[in-house]
Amino acid sequence: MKLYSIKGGIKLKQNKFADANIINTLPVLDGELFYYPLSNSFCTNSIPVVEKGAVVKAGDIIAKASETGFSIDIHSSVDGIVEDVTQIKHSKLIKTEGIVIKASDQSGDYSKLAPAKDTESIIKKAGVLGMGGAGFPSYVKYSSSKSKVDTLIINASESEPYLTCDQSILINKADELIEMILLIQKELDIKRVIVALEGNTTEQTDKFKQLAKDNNVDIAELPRKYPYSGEKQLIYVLLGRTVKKGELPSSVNVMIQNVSTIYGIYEAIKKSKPVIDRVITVSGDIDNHQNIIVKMGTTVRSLLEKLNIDPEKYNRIILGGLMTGTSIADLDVPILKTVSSVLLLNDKSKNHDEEACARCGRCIDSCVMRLSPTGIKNSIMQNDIGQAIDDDIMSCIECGCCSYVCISNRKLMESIQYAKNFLVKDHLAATESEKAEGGN
Amino acid sequence: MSSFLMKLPPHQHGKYETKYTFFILSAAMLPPIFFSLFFYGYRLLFAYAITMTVCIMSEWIYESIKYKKHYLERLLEFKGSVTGALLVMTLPPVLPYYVYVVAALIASMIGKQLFGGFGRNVYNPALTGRIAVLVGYSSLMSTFYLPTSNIFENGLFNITTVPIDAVSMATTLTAAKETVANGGTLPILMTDTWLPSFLGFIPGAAGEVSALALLIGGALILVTRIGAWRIPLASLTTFLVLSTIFWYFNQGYVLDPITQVLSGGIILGSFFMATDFVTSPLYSKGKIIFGIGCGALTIMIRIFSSYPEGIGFSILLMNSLVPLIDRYTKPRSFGG
Repeated sequence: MKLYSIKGGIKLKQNKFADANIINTLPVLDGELFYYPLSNSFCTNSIPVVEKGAVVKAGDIIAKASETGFSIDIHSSVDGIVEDVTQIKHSKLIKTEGIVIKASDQSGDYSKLAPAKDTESIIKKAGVLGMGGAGFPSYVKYSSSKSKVDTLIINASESEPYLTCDQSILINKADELIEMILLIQKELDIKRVIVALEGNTTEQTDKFKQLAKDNNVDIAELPRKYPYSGEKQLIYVLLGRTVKKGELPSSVNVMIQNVSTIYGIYEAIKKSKPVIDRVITVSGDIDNHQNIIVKMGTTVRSLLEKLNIDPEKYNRIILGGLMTGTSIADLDVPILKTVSSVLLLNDKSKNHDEEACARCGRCIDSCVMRLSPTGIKNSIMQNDIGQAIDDDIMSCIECGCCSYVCISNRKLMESIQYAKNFLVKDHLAATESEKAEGGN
Repeated sequence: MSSFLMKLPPHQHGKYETKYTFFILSAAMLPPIFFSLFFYGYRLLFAYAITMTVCIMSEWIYESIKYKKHYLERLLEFKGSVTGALLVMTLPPVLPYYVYVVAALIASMIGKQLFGGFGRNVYNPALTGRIAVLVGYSSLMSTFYLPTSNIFENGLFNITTVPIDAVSMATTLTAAKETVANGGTLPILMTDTWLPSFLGFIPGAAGEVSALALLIGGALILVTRIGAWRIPLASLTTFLVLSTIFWYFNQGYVLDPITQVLSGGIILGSFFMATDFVTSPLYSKGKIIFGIGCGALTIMIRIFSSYPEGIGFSILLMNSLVPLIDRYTKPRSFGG
């Protein structure tokens, strides 16, 4: 099918070592601790419904969604006893309120979800989040897409190096995926479904491609360029539609879902199974690269112990992809729904000092949002947040291309991320209060 | 425990660094440098050595004071060597050695460090040095020589004056200007100068005489994307179009476009000076405007002013417009 070309993006070394054909399962040991934070990137403030000492089964609700904001139910992923409701470690939030469960006597089964009348509430009850990494709650996507979406895009292109977990689902769960895609298509009355694959995928995905063909699902093979799998980029590349600044894909009548998310929805609807595990890629500078099903809340430490990987041999551990993932210093952080991989690296690169911008323009050429990272960074350094907002700092998708290509080792994406998370809010609040004072 | 390195994403970095871009730029300058050495002999080798040493040392001293660490590494980066080499390329082939020192000092200190060092300079450092000595030593700077290999060797250690047996000769552009000023007319098409101009057997600045060598180096710059292709393309196209128009309506008084483009510094300037990313616009639209400005101003100065050549002035003039150009050519964001 015809693809629209888009400016920007970079070519990365693929390093896809983990075999996508095989998905292993990580066993649960008695006495192991599992951690469930009550807040995640988009979804916050779930309310705990269990107390210390309570006996839970896998799939039981341990925290209920709160009424305000985006919030989801949190399920126990193992049979066991609630150890504590306390402050726990989190890869991004550092520390947050959470529930600790000590595993004991695994039955291998799970408590089924309470039946619900429509798909949307099942997705909400199962706690499905966007599993590509952003963690946008799927039920919001689903409900905002009702009756106006004409195209469903399944994002199966992992442009980050090392990751093969989405591909492994595509290969191993082809029938389930197609079944679910058709069901969503029927329910939301969608005209066209496109599955976006990374270009030059091997014959392993042929089964899926054949199935898709039989069911009138389009396959698009993207060029191997990072970050073509970004939401807005993907919609443009496939359909030529531009999502306006600050809008969701539903504004251009598109619903876009990650392939792991689709599988999560499949399990919720067909098996009444909440999201209590997911496939992650364990890779990096290690020998036994693999894709493995991990229960939510497993700590990185116990994952590495069970896989016989000695973390002392490596100096970097990254949760998520090489370009957008989070570096962790503590092995006791849990693996959550948005973590797609654990990468262990032996990083020998020197930490270079930032130098003055050489104005070479590589960051501008690499930006898929057509921003000027160097200009925005200069505004931030001069504390001119207003100018940065005028330059559309909030449109940044934080893909990291600008920092990757910078010849002066400038921390462009890092500064922009910091400004987006902290400075912009302060600036808006300040201008707001200034206006209010001026009014008086 | 807790021996893991913490870094913000992205967790990998591309292979390009500033020093690699300078490495490629130096490689691109080798063909014109070899041609100039071939034409003008060993004396020029000393000139390159002097300017490069002065530029590298002044850059190193400046950065050592500024950053106060990594002294040896900074010295080995040879920052400033590009400025030094470009400077000699724009100057006449035979000058007293002290002129090179003055030019190099002005280029790196006033042209670059006064603004805050590499990356912050507004004007192209090499051209700043060139224009300063052009104004300061105007008679020396307008004496050019016919390239003949190795005739200057006996003047190698002659420090204050130029060697005696050098054959002084006006450049094509100066000669044409003088002819017209004295009431003469020029041939409509100077076909016999085309080939020597292309190969470099004409008098001119050390690095600018051979169009062939410059195009080889320029191609390397564009292929490796060190310089933006839009700037030389826009500059040379504008130059050719305008010079064709002026020539067509003033036949006999203006040199033909081919001779115009092959003589003087328009090719050197467009490929090696205007593409300097520190002093050129950031955005693609701005780069085209910048290139058009350089080309148009050069031909204007050549035809309407008393200077025979204008590429240096026009690039410096366009350099000062870069902040303005950047301001008005900022692209719209995707979906914004």
